[in-house]
This record gives sequence, structure tokens and C-alpha cells, in this order.
Amino acid sequence: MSNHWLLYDSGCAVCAALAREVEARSGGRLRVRSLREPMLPEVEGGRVRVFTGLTMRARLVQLLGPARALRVAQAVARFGGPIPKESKNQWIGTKIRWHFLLFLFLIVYFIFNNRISIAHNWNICGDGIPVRWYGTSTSHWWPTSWDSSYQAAIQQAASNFNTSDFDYYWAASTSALMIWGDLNYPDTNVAGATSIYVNCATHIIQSGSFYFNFPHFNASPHTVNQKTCTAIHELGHGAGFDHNSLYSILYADHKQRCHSWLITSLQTHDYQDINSRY
Amino acid sequence: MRFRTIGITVTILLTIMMSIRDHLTRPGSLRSMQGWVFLDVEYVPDERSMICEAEWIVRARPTGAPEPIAYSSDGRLVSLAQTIQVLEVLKGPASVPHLRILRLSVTPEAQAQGFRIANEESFSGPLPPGEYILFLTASAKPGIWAVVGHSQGILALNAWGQVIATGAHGFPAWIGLNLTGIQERVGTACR
Repeated sequence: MSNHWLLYDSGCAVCAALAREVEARSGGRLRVRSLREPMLPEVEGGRVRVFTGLTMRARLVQLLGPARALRVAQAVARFGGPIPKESKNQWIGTKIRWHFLLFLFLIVYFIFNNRISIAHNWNICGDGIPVRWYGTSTSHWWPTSWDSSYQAAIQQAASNFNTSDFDYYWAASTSALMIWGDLNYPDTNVAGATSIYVNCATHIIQSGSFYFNFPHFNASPHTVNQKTCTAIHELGHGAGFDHNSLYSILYADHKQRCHSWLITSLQTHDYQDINSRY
Repeated sequence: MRFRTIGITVTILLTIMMSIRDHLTRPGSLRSMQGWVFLDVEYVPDERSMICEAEWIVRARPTGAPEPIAYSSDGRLVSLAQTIQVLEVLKGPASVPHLRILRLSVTPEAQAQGFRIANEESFSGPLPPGEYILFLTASAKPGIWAVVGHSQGILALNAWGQVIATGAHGFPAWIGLNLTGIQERVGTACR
């Protein structure tokens, strides 16, 4: 369940009143919190968490390490700790306060986290570091017993992926690291899938599988282009990228991407993502 | 001053302990190899489509162990049929005591290697115990129903019958609704 917070400046009376009004009218879907209260937002891939109170302090120790956290705690104690009640209205005071230090940290942390999540990376290893293949090409193969339309779609998708100005491409090889297969999942809402196996010590992808979900394609007629659209989407995952919400081979919704837009080749955003990674 | 020092020390000790616990339980830290599965799903664009595309909308709870019915060609993913006890039919052709629904999971072998489903984390694999509103549609296996939008059509209910969570790509507008609210929406959406 998602909680949505509206952050406001409690030094501004209009903002505070407006925030309370918004909270009341949102019917409980939106909660408000003053920016004076120290908070630590954490952006991890597509997930955002906000820590406050003791949990925030715990998180800071995790992030800074015990030695730095101790130095910060000493600084806080030296500067008088959290803002005393009587001085709550004097935000710009003469002393640097704990809240201000946290605010600075929060901004730096936000910038850092946003920097590493600019490209659509799935935070596979839990440390925010993107994963990739070692080298400039990766091999893939498919069962030659498959219907020719699937084989043509895979070859077309790889060819479209490879016609680019960057040094990364899919190479066909019988001793491949990525093997195409059938997901064989009777849920016809699912068109395909990709699995990748990553060494999180090196952040290098080791191997994996691409899947067409044949029950999906058997449930209604599909053109070779629609299969190509599915195949290039899986090749994008195979290169280490997550879904996105842009006009891209990695747009999340299959119906929109492969039945409406019919994206069978790399788009501007895909070039940006792949160029930044490889 | 002494209390403050004690307070800071206790906080730091506690957080170091929490940090160690967190570090040990984080999957990537102990396991250097990690496997992820990305699903390519057809989602419905809005709540109305979710209601109209569903052949069944039921309040139900899972019962019994899920049964494997199919495997991916590499044996890494398994299709499961899970029986649900139908508590109330909000939309559907008849009143039934049970239905079987489809779920996708990684096999125990793949799970041991560190594989999990990336974009359906909230409700991947069999449904955990609890009450749900489920939007179901026909699958390629007769008699086994698929959830609309794979996990989109799963609404988890709390003990008071209010929606507290939706599956991946679900609609936040459902959150907080009770059964009466859901029934009203279901009753009027496809007219």
C-alpha cells in the first residue's frame, strides 16, 4: 500500500493552512507533514521511502557508518540538538542545527540516488548499481524447431537492436548465454518474460532466458511485427533494463506497445539508456 | 548532558544492531548471485476496463496448496493452479463455492538459486492467506481463471473488508473502499 505525503513549509502560514485543508479534503488519501520535521527520503529504483524519527536515525547510521554517525551525533549535541520549542519560529538562526545538517544530507542523498537511477535500471542487487554484460556483445539462440514466424521475429528484433551507433549487440550463437524458450503460462495476459542471472559482486549478467508465452500468441492471431515487438522488448530486459513509461521498447504495457504503437526498433530513450550503460 | 550522551549511545548501539540485521537479511549481501524475472503483461488502462473485462469478480480467500500445472521450457518458472473459496460473487455467471485461479512462480530450484519475479513482487506466486477481491478472466486452461492484468485485478482486504493493497499496476482509487463501495462501482461501471 502506498502512502502519499504532501510536504509543506510550516513557516509559511498560508502554506500550513492550505496543507491542512488539502489533507482534510483528500479523504485520508494524502497526509501532510511539515518540512521542519527532519525526514530522510530514500529513492531506490522506482521505490521511494521516507524515514523519520528513530528509524531515520537508524538509517543514517546505516548510510554513514558508525564512526561518521557518531561524529554527526556529537555535532548535534555540540549545537544543542533538535530545535528547542521556543525557537521554532526562528529557522534562519545563528547556529547550524541538526535539522539543517539533515536537510543538506537529504538533498545530497536525493541527488546521488537520482543520478544512479536516471537510466531505467532495475535495482537488481539492492545497491543501486546497474547491471550489465561483460563485453560488447552477448549471444542468444532459439529452438530451430519453432514456427518460422517466431524465428524471423527474433532475428528481426536482434537486427533492429544491433543497427545502432553504440558498441553493444546481440550475436546469434548455438553456444549462447541467453536461450529463447516457451513460458508456457496459461494466463494469456502475459505475452513474454525474461530472466537474467546476475553476479552481484561484479554486477555482471551471467546468463538467462528469453520467453515467448505461446498460450498468449496461440489465443489470437499475431503478426510477425507483433512478435518482433515482443522479442525486442525481451532483448532490452536482457541488456539489463527495467520497464519504463515512455515511448520505448521497454514500455511496460504489452497491449499498448505491441498492439497499438507496434514498437519494433529502438527509440530515442532506448539509445540514451543503452549508450549510458555500454 | 549525561542523559543526552546516554541517549545518543543507546541510539547508535540500537542502529548498529539494526544495520547488521538488515545487512544479513538483504538478499544480495549474502548471495552474490541473484536472478530476476521480468514479465511482459497486458494491463487494463483503468478501473472501468478492469470491471468490464472481468468475467468473475469475487470476494474470496485462498484454500489448500497450489498445484503445479505447467513449467517453462527451461524449468525455471511454474504455473500454479490455486483453489479459492468464494465468499461472495460481485459479478459472474453463477454462485459457486470454489474457483481455481492461475499464478506464476519460480520453481523451488530456481528460488534456491536466488530467482524471483521482479515486476510483480507484491503478489507473485500463490496468493498468501487472507481475503481478496479478485477480478478474473478466462485463461488458456478451461476451468482455471486468470487474474485480469496478471496481478492488477487483486485487491487485498483488511479484517474490516476495506481494500488495503492492490497488485502491480493496480489502481489507487480502490484503496480504502469497503465492500459496499466496490459493489456500487461494479454495478454501474459497464452499463
